[in-house]
Amino acid sequence: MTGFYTLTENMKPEKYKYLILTLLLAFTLLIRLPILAEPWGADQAGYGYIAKGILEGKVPYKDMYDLTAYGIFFTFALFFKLFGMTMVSAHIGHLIVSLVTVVLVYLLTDRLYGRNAALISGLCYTIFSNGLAFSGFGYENKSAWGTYWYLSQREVFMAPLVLGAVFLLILREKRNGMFVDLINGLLIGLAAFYKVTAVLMLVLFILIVAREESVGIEGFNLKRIVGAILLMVFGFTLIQLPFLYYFWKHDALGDVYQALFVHLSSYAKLSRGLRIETLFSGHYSVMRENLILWLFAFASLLHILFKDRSRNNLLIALWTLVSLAMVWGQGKFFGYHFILIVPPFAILTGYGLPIFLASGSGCKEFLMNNFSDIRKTFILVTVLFCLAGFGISDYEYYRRHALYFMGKMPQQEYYEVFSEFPTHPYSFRSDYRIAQYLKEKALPGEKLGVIFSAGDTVIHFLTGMEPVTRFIQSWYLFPSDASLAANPITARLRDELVDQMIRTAPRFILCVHIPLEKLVQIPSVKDDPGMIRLYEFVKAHYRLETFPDNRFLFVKL
Amino acid sequence: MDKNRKSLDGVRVKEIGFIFCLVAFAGVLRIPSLTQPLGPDQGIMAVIGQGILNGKLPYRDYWEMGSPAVFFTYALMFKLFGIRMVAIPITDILVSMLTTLLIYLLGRLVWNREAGYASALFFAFFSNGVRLGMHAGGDIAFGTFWYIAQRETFMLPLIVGSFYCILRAERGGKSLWMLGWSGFLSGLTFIYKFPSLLIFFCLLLYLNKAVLIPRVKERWDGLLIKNFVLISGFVLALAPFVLFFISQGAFHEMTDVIFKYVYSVYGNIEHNYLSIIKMALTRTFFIAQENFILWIFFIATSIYMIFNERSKENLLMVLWGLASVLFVISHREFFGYHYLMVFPPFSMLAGYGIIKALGPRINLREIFTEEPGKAFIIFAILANLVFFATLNYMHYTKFYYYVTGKISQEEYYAFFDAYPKHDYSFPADYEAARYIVNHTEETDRIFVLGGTESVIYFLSQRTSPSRFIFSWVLFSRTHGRVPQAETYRQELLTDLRRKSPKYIVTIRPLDTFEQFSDIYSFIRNHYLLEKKLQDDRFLYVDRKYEAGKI
Repeated sequence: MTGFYTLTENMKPEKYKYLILTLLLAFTLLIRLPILAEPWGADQAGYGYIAKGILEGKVPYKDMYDLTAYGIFFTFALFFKLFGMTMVSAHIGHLIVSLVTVVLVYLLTDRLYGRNAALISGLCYTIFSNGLAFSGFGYENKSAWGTYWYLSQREVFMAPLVLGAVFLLILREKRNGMFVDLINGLLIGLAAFYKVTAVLMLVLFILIVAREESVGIEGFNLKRIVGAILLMVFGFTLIQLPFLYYFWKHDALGDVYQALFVHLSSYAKLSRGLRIETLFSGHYSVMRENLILWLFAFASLLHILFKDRSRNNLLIALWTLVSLAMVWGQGKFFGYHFILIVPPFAILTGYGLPIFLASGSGCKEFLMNNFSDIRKTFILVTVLFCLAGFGISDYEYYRRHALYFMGKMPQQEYYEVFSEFPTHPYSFRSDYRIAQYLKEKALPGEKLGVIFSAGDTVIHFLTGMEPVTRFIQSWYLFPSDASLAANPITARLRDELVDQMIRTAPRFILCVHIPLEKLVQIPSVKDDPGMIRLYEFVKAHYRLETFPDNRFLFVKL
Repeated sequence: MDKNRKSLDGVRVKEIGFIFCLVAFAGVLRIPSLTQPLGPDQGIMAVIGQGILNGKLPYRDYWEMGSPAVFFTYALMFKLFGIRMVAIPITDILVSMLTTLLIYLLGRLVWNREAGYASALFFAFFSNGVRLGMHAGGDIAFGTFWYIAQRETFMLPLIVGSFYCILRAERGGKSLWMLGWSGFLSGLTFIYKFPSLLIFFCLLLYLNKAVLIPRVKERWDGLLIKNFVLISGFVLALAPFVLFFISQGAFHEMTDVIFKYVYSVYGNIEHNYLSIIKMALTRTFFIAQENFILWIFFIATSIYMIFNERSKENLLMVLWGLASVLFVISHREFFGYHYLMVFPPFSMLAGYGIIKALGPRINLREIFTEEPGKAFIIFAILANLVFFATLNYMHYTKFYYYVTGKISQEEYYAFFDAYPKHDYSFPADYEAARYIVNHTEETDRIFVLGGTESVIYFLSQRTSPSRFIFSWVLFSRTHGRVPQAETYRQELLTDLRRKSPKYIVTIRPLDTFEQFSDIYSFIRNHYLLEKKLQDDRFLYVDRKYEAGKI
């Protein structure tokens, strides 16, 4: 490799490797400190409530309905078990997983491309995976404030699992292939808990292992190929068994199947169809912050494919492409979907930057060598431009947290920015106020009914009030699309919600985002007799208290 | 370089074809602006431009803080294309096409044809981005309606022309004539905006390079003559305006507003430099997301030139870029259209940089296999195109939907609404104007209180009883607090009393003007609320009309 700035390469002793890693971890920790103060986003509120329920003996889907794969619920439950039943526990989990991912990125790059590249990759990962860009909504170039929207999202936990599997596949060249295949199956299986798109990685691994076994020293060996594939598939399946047993034991397998395979698939068309503006908007929202990773990743990919086709380089290239496919495959282009691409992009940046820039034994020589070539000057300026852009866009985020941590900003003022209304129905600042109100007014054991919500489960978590129905998030019962609203499952679940709400008649009923009288008029549900019945019921027996950001709390007369 | 210069002598058919395509491209890209309505500044300039054609004068008959050239430009465009909204984008398109052509000529003169093509292409494309409509609240203005036909638009060809002339002058030929023209064109830009003096300084520095760079030899008497001619050209451009206002007896009013009042406001503002720097960086980065390739090339090419190719002409280009950035900074507001000024020098340096970096001919196979640096640059350009497409997509699709009848005019105009982040709302003003037209005679007067909504006068073709055709300045926290503002408010009140308008449109509720008790009481006592329109527009009618007395 033609050198970059050769400072770290001169640090030959092994101990420096770990010194750099320790400094990198300290830096990772430092720049992520604000996450310990941030509240939950809309999705996290749902995950957190279900995780709490699991620890209290409830069963996801059966007692707490959701359309999300179950891996994330158990992960949150684990964090609650370890760090206590608070919002910050989930963020501590995020922090720990980020540190693990940094270690893996650093060690993997060090093994493949050396100390310089490892430092660059590690820095790139730690900085850019903590950017605000991953809070993007995927449309209209809009983003949530800060990082709270993507903290502890499923992709955060998938990234180190996939990265670990890639690391193992690289080690497979020299280690026991069978053991590695089994562990890889387990790791990918775990990743698939969170999102089923991880299956793409399994397919990639199977193809790679099959190819390697077929062109190895011993030549084509069908038994070895079949054995390797079976081991991976076995590992992938094995990890599912404890969870399947859990649902079977609680008589909830049918509910899991209904939610994740029947109901979810009907909703998939809400976001699929690859609207071109969403595609562009989602990419723009992310790339504007970490463009440098994309540029180096694509330029390095080309360099690898045309010039440097070693086994491991190709593996990194394919992993990158599959990660992109995992993002694109979802068709929504939310910011946090892109978290999966940061590890391979960071590694490719570590690979590419020393190749594309001239080396130098000191800062001055390094600059002079690069400034003598306009292309290298361009690359250097681009790197600095992107870092400056990152700093500018994140400045307010860190400034606000510094004021909060130093006690110069009260909590209520700090929470003011955590509202995505009206771009998205979720508003933590308002939900927090409702929670304070309910804590004051509600009597022990009273329930909170929610008619239309999107993440406002956080109120249940903050107050400890039980919901009336199992629909802790119910936006999907009131879709704007008429065919989805008329879908038999949706209609049945909506009836269930209405029946339980009227039967229980809780003291408090919350409707978020849309006033109840408008909700019952949306074309897709306006002819639903259940909804009309619910509206009449609420109108007759409740009075309205309004909160900011279109929160309508009905209190029983 | 010498080889390229030799080739300048002949203009080939192929070259003319390329230039034609580039200039046409600049025009075609801007077609959606033809259906866009007026922005707030354009509304003000349109009323004054039309007034000039009717024999009225800026400052004396229409109060404005800006320097005068743009009002006469608007008058000229109405003379050429008729008094209608579309005259403004037509002129903007033609001027942008002219600037594109001039940038090509300058690039060709300084470097070579390829650099000229690339520079013109960069300018034609990126100077039409929607982010230039950025205003105080960020991305508040839809499409390009906020920044087209702004002062900067008209300054660009003049500046590029002045650089072209001075370079031609220094290369020989009719050098003094060319120098005079260079000064004259610079002088004209000064009448659009005074900070353009910064760019004129670049020309002066370049002309006096012999004084600054020891190795450059030049006779001092020759240098003196050149300076005299350049500065004379500059002064000559100012003379007609000064003489015109003096002859009309309005010179005092002009200086009173654009020097005395403006200084009383801006000269006394206490600046928090940290927050200005923060604003500068935030807004510049916001703008640069749409055209980052220009910024990167500007910096990279400048560094490369300073380290490797320090010819005096190259250094002039770098200096021009820096002066343009200073021009933006000098406003201390960092509005999107201020950044228009950086596009010519940035495009020039980007055009040179890209040709230098990629070579005149691109061989993709070679780039992918042997030249990763080139691949990196190509990816950066592609990424910028993706960003540009993402940000501009709606601008073009809404235009397409409108012209193909898929959305109505009302639906289309609804996009041009910056309220409540900014007072301006074209759909609300359009509705107000239509209502006024239907409920007034042509001789009736109207008045718009607050905001920057002069467009209501233009759309309704009704006149104001006062020269304050926009009045936010009289009530704002900064502009409205200086002693002169109180005099202006008294003048306004006298006008309202003497020539009472049939309708007063308030921008935001009348109660927001309560602290200005004289005007507030006058409206409360003499006017009745007749209609509330969208975006906090309130139509008050004179009580005597309401009572049926007239």
